[in-house]
Amino acid sequence: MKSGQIEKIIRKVEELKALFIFGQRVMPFLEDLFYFVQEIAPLLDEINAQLKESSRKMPKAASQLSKVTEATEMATTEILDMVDGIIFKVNGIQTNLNRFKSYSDLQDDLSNRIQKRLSLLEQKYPDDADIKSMKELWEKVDQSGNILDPLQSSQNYMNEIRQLSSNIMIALQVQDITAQQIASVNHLIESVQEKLSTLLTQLDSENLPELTEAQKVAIKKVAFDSNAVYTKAGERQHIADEVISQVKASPSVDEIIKEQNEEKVPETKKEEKKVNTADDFDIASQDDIDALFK
Amino acid sequence: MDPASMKFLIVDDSPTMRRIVANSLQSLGYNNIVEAEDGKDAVGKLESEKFDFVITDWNMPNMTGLELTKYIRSEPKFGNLPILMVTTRGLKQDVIEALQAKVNNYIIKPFTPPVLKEKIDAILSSLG
Repeated sequence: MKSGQIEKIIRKVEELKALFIFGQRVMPFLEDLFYFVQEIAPLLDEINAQLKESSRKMPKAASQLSKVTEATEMATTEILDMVDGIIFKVNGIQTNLNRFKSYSDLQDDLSNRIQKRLSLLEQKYPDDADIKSMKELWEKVDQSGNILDPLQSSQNYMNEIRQLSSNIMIALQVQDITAQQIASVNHLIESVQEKLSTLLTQLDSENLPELTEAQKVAIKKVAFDSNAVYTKAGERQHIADEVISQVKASPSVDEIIKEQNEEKVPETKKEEKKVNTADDFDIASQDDIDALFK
Repeated sequence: MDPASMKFLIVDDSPTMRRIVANSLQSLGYNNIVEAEDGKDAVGKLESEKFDFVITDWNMPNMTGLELTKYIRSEPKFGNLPILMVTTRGLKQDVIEALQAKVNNYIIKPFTPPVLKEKIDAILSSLG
């Protein structure tokens, strides 16, 4: 054996020794890693199962919310039927009151005429006790028969009931607004479920079951405005009125758009506003949802 | 124009809202009312009947109120058919977008019958 070959063998033996030394040092870490993987595996399985369970529950949640919309729509229709019934009956009472009023006017006219006749008779026969007595009696009848005041009061009550019915009807617009808010939440749930499904597919190649036909029917597709809010009637109308009057005063809509763009708050200010106003309710967009899963 | 002879088309996917708008119109003396549940349904009705006034929501399935407005304005046969948008969308940009599509006026929900009357009167007087 040549000396070069021996040196080569010695070098290899040293490398092997170094490898054993490294192996000795790394062994405790590998053991720890082994135990860690052993411990973490059930936890990952648990997370996986929880994700699956949550994802399966999501269509049910969305369908329950759709049922809420259906229920409120039905209830609103019933209330509107009742309001219509009230208005119909109020109109009936109003007709009767108008009849009473006509009758009262006729009665007043007749009463005045009788009164005049009695006065003439009294002048003609000043000493006739019967005529005098009849005149006094008729005056009492005339006074007791005055139904104009209660009629007017009933008329006022009828107007108030009509106004209250109208207010109930206006307040029922809340149903449309909440339906849009629920549809917005449903859209959010569907998006999250879709993302979770993708995530689970990547984890264990098992896709979530498709929605059943019943579930698909239950989750009614509604076009919605995610910023729909119920405020006191007319409170936000001034925004529209302001823009419309601006447009009317301006030669073109394009100029208004230009002004609006110039009016826009700088980006940094927008950020400040977002941080400072806790009451701000920002609806998560698809981009927001996507960002959560990056 | 005599309110009794005016024919209204109410377009909204919410039956509740259609009924509330119809009731409000009736309380103002407008009794000739037809309802459509979305823009597409409205187009069908507009093609087969003559209307004097359209009151439409914005967010609707199949065809939105904005698309309906653009369609009406693109068809010369409808002339200056008045369009009143009644919607929850209350941002300035929304109002501008609706005006660009050439709606005659804009109401933000929830509305009151006096506001509805005010807007209808304003549109009718501006059209002569």
